[in-house]
Amino acid sequence: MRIIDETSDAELIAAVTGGDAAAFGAIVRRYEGVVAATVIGMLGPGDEADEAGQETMIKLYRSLDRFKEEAELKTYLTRIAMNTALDALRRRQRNLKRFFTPSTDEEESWEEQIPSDDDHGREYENRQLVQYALSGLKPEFRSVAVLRLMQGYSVDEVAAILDIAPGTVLSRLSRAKKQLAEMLHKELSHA
Amino acid sequence: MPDLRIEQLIEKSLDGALNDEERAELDEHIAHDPTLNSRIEEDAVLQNLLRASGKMEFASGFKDRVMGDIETEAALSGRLERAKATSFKPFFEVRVMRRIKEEAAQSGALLSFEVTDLLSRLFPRITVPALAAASIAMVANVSAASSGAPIVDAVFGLPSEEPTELAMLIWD
Repeated sequence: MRIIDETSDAELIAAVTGGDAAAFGAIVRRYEGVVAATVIGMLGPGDEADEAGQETMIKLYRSLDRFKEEAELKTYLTRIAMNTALDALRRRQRNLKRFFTPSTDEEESWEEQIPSDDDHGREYENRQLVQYALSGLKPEFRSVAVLRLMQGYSVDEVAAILDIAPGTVLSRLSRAKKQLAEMLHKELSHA
Repeated sequence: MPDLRIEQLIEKSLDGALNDEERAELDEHIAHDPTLNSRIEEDAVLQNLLRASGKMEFASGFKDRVMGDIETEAALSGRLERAKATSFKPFFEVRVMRRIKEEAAQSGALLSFEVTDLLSRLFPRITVPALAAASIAMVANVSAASSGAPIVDAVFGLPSEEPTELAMLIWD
């Protein structure tokens, strides 16, 4: 175990691309938390996030031979995880639109609808509260908040992961923070 | 629309990554807008709250589930590779037939496809006399044709017959 933990990403990647599929297990173990923070932050906990996590790892496995070593594996994997989570969110929204009558306010997606106190109660755990507040953000704002505020990536790293300009990250982040603060204030003042 | 330069300075401040010049620049902004200070404090609280909740994990056995999927995929792709190995390059049939023909030519044997070749070469020569014979037959039976017999009967000189009841039923 210690040997695997001390093996560099590059060595593990070389082992996997050389045909040692078991070495991929070490990569999964090493980055499981990074992927979980991204997909659970975006989708909330549950089977959907778990499946998105597995899909992320399998996409990484398939693309390892194309991975360029100058990129950081953590950043590369986070990008795959974020794209997979965004795809899952789009699928979720499509399914919801298929099964539910659209809201009278077309701008307001189901993600933006804040459930009443009765729906959630006031006994939020810290995590549940944050998860709930995040679910109120549109995907483009949520992705920035998850990467920057939860995972601690720098603005430039977030820009690289999402393939957008740093200025776009800053403006989305500003709006996301404002909305999160409003939602959290509202929930905490009810508590 | 937020001032992106101020946003950038705030983010750097939260990361503790401001250099002296940037620190002075941010202080200057704060001097002009004192609400910025409380904004930075609130942002720090929000960031701490979210970061503290960022340690999320999958249900136990995640690695085993991923590795199970990968093993299944590897087994499938192995099967695909084997399937690829049993297929041939394009025009396999053409190449085989050419070789058979070459071997047949060398041995001098008359193979069935050579008979077919011969017939197909003879066909244009047979077709013209056959059409001429049919025309002569039609002229010879012209009286039958003019009497209203069907054209096929006229061409082949068949006796004109009244249709049977069964034939009329089918026709109807």
